Amino acid sequence: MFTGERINLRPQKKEDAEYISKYQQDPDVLDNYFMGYTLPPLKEFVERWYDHLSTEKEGYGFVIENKQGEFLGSCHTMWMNMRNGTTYIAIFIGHPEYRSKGYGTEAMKLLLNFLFNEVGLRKVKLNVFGFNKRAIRCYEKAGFKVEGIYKQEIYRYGEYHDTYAMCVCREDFNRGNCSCIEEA
Amino acid sequence: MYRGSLVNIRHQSIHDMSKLAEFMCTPRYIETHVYDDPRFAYKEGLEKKFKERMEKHDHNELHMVIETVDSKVIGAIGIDGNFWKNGLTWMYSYIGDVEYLEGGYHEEAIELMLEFLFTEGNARKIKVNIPSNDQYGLSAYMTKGFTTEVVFMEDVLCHGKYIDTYDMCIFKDEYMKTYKLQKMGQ
Repeated sequence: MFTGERINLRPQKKEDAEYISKYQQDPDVLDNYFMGYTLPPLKEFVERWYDHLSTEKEGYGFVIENKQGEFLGSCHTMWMNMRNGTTYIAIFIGHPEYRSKGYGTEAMKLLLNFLFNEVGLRKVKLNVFGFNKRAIRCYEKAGFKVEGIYKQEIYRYGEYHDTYAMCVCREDFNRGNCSCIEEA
Repeated sequence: MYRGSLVNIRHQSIHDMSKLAEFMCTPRYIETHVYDDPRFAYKEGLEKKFKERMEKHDHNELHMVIETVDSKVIGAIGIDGNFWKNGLTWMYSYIGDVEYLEGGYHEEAIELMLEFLFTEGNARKIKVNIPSNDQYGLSAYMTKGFTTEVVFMEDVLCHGKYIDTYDMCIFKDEYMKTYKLQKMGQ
């Protein structure tokens, strides 16, 4: 487990599928998190995805919880490439009361610290929808920079929207963003 | 089959696997496919992969060979992903026979593929990722109207150093403007 000031990151368990699917039914999460249809995922789907994650050689999934152990959200890696030292990540804060209060940024920093300084990755990447300004701010606070913009990449609300390709490198992260983190 | 003046593109068959495996073992192929782990392809492995792919019958993939007009296989082209909700298609291509890197063979194969994907496949946006060490590939896609959307700086390892990769794309609207002009010209 990794502990921050207000949250902990712990490895995802199969039982977490219930909470993940519950919060992923929130329209705010659905609209901003999925490239595909904004249809709520079933618990079985999340369980299947967990099975996939746990059998994958190089992949990590974490639950974000507060100090009382309450489920706030989740984050995980995708397409990790050890040869190139890169991975994509995804994160969401499902609990509505914990959004826009810095919990996502704190979780992101804990995740990055793990990926850079434990796993040994060199570069972490993510894609974020252009209309998700809150998430973009959160990623920038965690050290991410925009590498480029995918024009008209996602179809939502009846029109096409841009997607931002963002990344952070280990050197940049370790230069300025590790101070709030202590490992348990 | 789509026919051009230099090359044709047609569906891959199991009989092409030997030649494609040979291409995939060349230093140039390995150097320019930097997301893969370093490895050497072998014919039997490719045949197995091909059979599995055929059995899966995935409509989001399409795999073709590039051959000269006298039926010599010189490379491959296709799509390895299609996200139709968002209208995105991921394309790949390579010329395996180094004698045909220049001379417009790759460019014509891309042109034939684009014509198929936009005028038959109803693709909206076609994407491709090219590492910066594949100058022939970059040049071929740029010649055919692809533009760079994202430059991933120092993204992949090649010969002990990290090199950039380019995410490039072309939209149907842009393609059709040129396509219609060409058709009018004919």
